[in-house]
Amino acid sequence: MMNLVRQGIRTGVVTTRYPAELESAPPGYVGQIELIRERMDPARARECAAICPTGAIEAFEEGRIRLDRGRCIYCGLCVEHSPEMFAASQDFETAVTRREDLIVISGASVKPPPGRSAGRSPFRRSLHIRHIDTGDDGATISEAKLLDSPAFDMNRIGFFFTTSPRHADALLVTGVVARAMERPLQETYEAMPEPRLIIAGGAEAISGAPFDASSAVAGGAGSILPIDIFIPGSPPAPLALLYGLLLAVGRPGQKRPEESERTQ
Amino acid sequence: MASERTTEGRIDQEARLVPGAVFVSLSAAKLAADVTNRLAGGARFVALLVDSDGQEPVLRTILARPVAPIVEAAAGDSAPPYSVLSCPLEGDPPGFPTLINVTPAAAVFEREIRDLLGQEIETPGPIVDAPGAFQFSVGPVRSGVTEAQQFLFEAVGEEMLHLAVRLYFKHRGVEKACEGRTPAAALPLVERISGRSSFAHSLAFCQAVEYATGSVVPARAQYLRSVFAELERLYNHFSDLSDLCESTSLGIMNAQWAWLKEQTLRLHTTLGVSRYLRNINQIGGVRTDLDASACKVLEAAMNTLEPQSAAGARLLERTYSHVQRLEATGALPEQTAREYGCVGPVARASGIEVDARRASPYAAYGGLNWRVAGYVGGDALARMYVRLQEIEESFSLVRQCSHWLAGNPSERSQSGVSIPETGGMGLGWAETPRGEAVHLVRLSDEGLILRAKFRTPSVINWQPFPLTIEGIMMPDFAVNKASWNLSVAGNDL
Repeated sequence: MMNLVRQGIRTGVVTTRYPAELESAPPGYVGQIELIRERMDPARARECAAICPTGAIEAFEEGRIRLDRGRCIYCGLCVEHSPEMFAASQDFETAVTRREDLIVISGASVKPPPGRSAGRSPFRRSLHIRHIDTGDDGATISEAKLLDSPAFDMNRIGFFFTTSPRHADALLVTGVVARAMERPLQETYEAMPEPRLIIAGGAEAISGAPFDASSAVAGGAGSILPIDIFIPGSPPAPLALLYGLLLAVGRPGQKRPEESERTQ
Repeated sequence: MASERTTEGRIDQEARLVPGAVFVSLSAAKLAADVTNRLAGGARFVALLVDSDGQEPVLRTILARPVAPIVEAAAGDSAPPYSVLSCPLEGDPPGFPTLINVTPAAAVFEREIRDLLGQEIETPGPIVDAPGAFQFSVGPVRSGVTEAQQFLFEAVGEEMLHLAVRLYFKHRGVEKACEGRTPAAALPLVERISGRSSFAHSLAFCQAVEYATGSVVPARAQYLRSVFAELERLYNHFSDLSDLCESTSLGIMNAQWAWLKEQTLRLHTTLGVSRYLRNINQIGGVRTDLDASACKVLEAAMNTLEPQSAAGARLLERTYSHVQRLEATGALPEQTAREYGCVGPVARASGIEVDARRASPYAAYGGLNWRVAGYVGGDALARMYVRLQEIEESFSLVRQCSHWLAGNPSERSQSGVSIPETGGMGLGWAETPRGEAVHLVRLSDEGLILRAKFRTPSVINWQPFPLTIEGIMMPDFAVNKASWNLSVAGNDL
């Protein structure tokens, strides 16, 4: 027993200090794909749209690009093919509150999307989260479980996983919605008392990509339930999930000071 | 016990393209007898699938040939490691010969085939109703952050009598979704068969397509593939040990292994690849490389992680409260494991030496110096020991590959040859952290996927899992389950 305690003390504190302090992602981390100019060669634009495995890229209007980050699985083929237009950024604070804020158009000016409060979030500090797997491949579950581990320790911020939907403030849905999980998802949601939030964790949960064309899949969670927070990624890294939870309670991350004004 | 180390060999600088499988045609009437003979001769049942030859339905049986003894393997055994037996099915609706009497492992595949052919499936009978027993179901939405699966228990007090596992809540139709796509467009789907085995599944798939199209992979790509495959094994075993400690309420060790897992995932992004090793494999090689400075980063990371892991292993072995929960829990007898064609750490813990990296070397494994992990008894403790042994071997394998990569900078990491758009059928495999995955891919003349079969290790290992709970106490169910650590997504596809 003492050996275990000694080992724990020897390891020290490994927890990230995010969001209190700046956290930067390791160099190779892909937080999201950015469009860095207004137009590209139209033929190359069409090629990019064709090689995207989830149909997240649309070429229109002679060389302009429309990118749906809710379908993007960060495979990087667009960046490899056309680095003049597509670049990978390390920003992990990518969660949004509206589906349309995940659509970016090349050349359009980027306003920071609004925070959780159109008004206020019904939740101010602590959030009890019920997770449901509706067809996850396992990677997003793996990232979500790490939130409880010492590296991120979400309990220190007031976030907890709860076992019963009756005790839950938020439902974190991960994975596409397989048809056999439609009813369990619906029943879990209906068992939650109000106020309640639905968080779609990952591209699979947001849009059903890359399996939404399958007859065994109903789509993303958005086709069944109203989603409050969209966290892109495939899978979204723990810090990206953590930012999504902060957004859910109207707390700022590290990069958007204007939100903290809105939620005062 | 762990096998002897092989002598260090060398892989060809341009690997010979040895076909992965021998393709045999025979009539449906002869299938059962043929499979019986092969299994009696030491072959292992891998999978059963229904396909078509363009006109008529065809039943394909995949077997792994008997594993050659070490002496033969060192002599450069180059016969294909798998056999695919194909027999046409006749009749409307097509009848097909059942293999359930030959091997119980065929059961889950036959149910799938009947489902695909639109035939009646026998639903399992009711749970045995013992006096004083109560029945209850748990799932598909379960407590904790975990996959969707349902357990139907029958128990008397704390003692479990019977378990039926209901899976397929998460069926997404992955195989069907790949049809009509080019192999490159199917790769993101293949990487999501089972999210923590993304690299191994994409590796098996790429190899299947490489065999089908006759593409040769350069040596540097093979070593890179081995590096990433072993990094995947490391973070998975750290994760499994963390889950195991969570099940025995060993909080400090749960945290320690989870921290090791997170450090490994961060190492991946420091090397310039995704945390879950996605988007690395491509047909003909890999999309990324590790230059000399990346190899230094890799070796430094191994020097940091290995002592932590070794310290964790020592602590686990000496914590009696933890070990006692695992001892004699969920024992899978060797005979049962063989009958069901079990693979992975589960099989190796039951005394079966089966490891695709040894039996049918792929990537760079043929030229590396390492041992197959093994134990006896097949209980949860044996499964823990096997994972601890494999962690040690994986550190060594990563170091050996990194050494080669740093010392051979001029080799190319992708074939550079445009992949011919040809038809053909290829079989590929890889030892995922949970066991052998086998992929069979059939391509049209334009190079589009007509049929894909992804035989994951979990679909095999789930079958005998319910047998190992009978008579154990309810609180030990979670411990046993954590020691198997099967994938539901990989089963349900």
